[in-house]
Amino acid sequence: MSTREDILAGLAKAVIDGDPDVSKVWAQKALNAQMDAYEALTKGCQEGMKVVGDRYTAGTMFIPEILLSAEALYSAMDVLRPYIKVQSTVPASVVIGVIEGDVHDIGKNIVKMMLEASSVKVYDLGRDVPIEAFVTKAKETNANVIAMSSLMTTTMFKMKDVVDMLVEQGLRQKVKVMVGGAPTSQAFAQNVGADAYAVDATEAVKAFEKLMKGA
Amino acid sequence: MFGIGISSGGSFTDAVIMDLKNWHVVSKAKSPTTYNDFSLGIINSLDKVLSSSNVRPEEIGLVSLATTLATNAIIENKGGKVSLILLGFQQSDMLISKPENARDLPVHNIMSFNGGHGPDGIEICPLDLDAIEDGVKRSKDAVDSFAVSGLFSVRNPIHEMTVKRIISRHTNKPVVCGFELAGKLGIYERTVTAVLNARIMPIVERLIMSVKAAMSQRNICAPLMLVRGDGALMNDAVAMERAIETIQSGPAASVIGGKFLSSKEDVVVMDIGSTTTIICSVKAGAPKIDESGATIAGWKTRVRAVDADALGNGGDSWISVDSMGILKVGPRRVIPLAFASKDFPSLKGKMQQFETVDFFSASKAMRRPDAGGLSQKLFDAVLNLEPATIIEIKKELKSTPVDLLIGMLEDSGYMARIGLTPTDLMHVKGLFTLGDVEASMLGTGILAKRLNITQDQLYEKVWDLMVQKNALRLAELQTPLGNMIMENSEKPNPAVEILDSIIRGSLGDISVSCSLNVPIVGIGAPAQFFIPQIAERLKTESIIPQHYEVGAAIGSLVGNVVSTFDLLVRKEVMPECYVVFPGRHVFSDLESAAEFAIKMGKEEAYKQAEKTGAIDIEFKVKREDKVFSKIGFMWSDIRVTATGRPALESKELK
Ligand code: B12
Repeated sequence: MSTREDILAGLAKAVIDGDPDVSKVWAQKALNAQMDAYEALTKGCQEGMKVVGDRYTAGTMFIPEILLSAEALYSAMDVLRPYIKVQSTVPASVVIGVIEGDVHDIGKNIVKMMLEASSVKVYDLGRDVPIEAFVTKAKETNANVIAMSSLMTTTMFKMKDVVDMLVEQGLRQKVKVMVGGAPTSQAFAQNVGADAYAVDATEAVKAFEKLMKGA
Repeated sequence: MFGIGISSGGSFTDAVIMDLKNWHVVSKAKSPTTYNDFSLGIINSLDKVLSSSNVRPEEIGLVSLATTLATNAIIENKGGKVSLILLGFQQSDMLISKPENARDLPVHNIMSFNGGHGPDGIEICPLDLDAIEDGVKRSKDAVDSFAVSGLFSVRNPIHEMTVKRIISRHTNKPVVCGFELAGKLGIYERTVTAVLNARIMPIVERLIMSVKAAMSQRNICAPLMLVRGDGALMNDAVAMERAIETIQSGPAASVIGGKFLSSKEDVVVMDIGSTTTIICSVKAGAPKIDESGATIAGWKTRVRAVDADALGNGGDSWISVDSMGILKVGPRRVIPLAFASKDFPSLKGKMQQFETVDFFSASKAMRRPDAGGLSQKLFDAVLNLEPATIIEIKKELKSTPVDLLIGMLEDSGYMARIGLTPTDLMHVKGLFTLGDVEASMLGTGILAKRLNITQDQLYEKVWDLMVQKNALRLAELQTPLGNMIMENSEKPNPAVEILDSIIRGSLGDISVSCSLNVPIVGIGAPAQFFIPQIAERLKTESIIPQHYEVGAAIGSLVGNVVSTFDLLVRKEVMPECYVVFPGRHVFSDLESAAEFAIKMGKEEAYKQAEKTGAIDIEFKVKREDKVFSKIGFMWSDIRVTATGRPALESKELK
């Protein structure tokens, strides 16, 4: 039987190697060992993704490999998903998506998974989502929150466009706005006029809960 | 040279003449406000103030007016027929944007066309010029004016401007565009602003025309200016175009006047009128402004105006005894016995006969169109019996649920209540003598007897409640509570109750003390009776300046002419550039963009200030760059303010 450390290292390596079959096996091992599924995902797969990021920045890994890493992360996530435990259930709905011009959706998908696990109704618009689509979807579904993800400094300013659009159309009082993704920050969120920011998926659920309580 | 300041808001229209060289008050006058036609009261006060001084009409270089005319017209839903044209926004979208309790838009018809822009100022969809032309042709004869409002017109007004041009080709009727009146996001609020403006333009124009005619008959060739909701002045021509900006001009004149008379930079101004107390704070010489826009009669506008609180607890508050035998003051407002007695000679007799101070009147309220039904019967009965006591009404209409119906008629303004008020108590004390003192004395006696106390005790109790209520409201506004608490909300609020105890000095067994850290300036005729006591409770200084009773009239004369223009510079990527809004002007580097924005802001603000009647114009530029770690510069908000003195002109100068 593998130890906890073995399993986390195995998951990380599978993501770095971009091997979806191996990552699936490690994910199953994590479950067999009664490990916390969310911990396996964050301390295992996500750590692996960090290494991938570093290597990409250093120029030793390339885009096709990164795509395989993403595949590996997703296949582990599929195994772990049903076992993700959450503290609470939040009866609310959210429109989520990655902002226009940006295709980095791994983080968004993890946030989505965590929200769904908390019984939040999630309308996922996917990635490279035009700003009007967020507003239209929120209007159509009467969602409580719009959650936007951006991984690039070159696209994050579009988040302000979405907030401006809500203000312009008089929807700002009705819909809360949450932002996230590596380059964003609390200060950024405040300045674009968003209601909440979170560094990672666990915090995202907490922030979401707080938003709904405040409402 | 001299100036005349007039404030026509509450029961009285006040006027002052000031020497414009040294700002000394030369003469002052008061005359009753004439709600059916404001211009009559205004002209009366003008004559009165002129005749009570040695100033010749030829020496008058400026006449400035603060009036609640526009506010009243909007509340009473009066005005012309407006055709609304929406661009890139549907009527159904307007319904979604509309705040829950807001009233429907007072428009004759709404037409929606393709068009509008995105947040980046780029056209979403081109205008359908033919369809718009058709629509304009179809409705132009049925309406008095047009309002045009497009999505993101504050980022790019070109569609609104184009439509305005099309309309002007077919009719000379006024066209009001959203972006002309509001530089802020929020198409719903901009639309409300444009529609209400288009609607009340003829009403404000009529007032201006009659006042100007009266001025020239009296040989005054000075410019006429109106006070804006933020306290600045605008000349008659601009006031006619931007009529909506005169809403809140009454409170604005009060605050500016109070601040001016106190010669202090940080104060709270309280204007105690006959029906309402206006409270507004002044920081660093500027009144607190509601940047998001004033709400009027349930309509949220984008009109920048003073953030003044109107507390309905002046002299007209109803003094009553509830079913538990507890004495209450307000929140309902009634006609004081002293004034009602002048209209109804039978009042005093009835007070003695029925041992009551509470009456109903129908003729003193809004006229009721013949509606039939039980409420109509009640209305007719009251009209017949007035001043009517509840006993008489019940006797007349035996099986009708009178209590219920009366409440409904009263709330909707079809019936007015007459009762004992603080104004009556002031008559008894000899502080006021305008009304029938005897009726007030009679009423005070009846209520004191019912409560088993002396008349002096009744006076003390009512006074204590009124002073405390004003002190409490002021305290609420100076704390973060102010935004959360609605005046007259029926629900007891624990936070307010605690604040109330704090002002009274004890919370249970704990002694507490609080003190306001700015002085209170009191203006308005009854100020001297209230403000010192309110200030004492809040442990601060009270200032009752000379000429306090005409503070608002002074405030309407001492303001500046101000015009502001808001701009945005934002960074875009791929390719990297800096774009200036409104209008989408693209630059390759930030400083050239900002420089252009400031230049454009100055030009626009200058043009508007000059048009509004300013001279000696000076600029203030506020630039706020948003810069983030890791990302750097993202956008910059720029506001250019042009401020000048009103250009004076008189017969003598010519
Ligand atoms: C994987 C990846 C890719 C994959 C994306 C696959 C996919 N389906 O997502 C691929 C290969 C497609 C890719 C492409 C590109 N990428 Co890339 N990519 C990365 C990489 C390595 C990892 C990102 C990731 O998934 N992280 C793991 C997740 C789990 O973390 P996360 O996203 O931060 O999410 C967490 C939190 O932020 C938060 N969160 C996220 N979203 C939200 C939303 C809300 C509402 C909340 C509350 C919280 C929240 O919770 C999440 C979970 O805890 C990063 C490098 C790095 N170190 O980040 C570069 C990186 C983001 N990419 C970069 C670049 C430049 C590109 C390309 C332009 C490369 C190119 N030249 O073509 C293209 C972009 C194409 C486009 N238009 O979007 C740059 C961005 C630089 C910048 N300007 O900001 C980075 C930073 C690499 C670098 N150092 O240069 N990339």
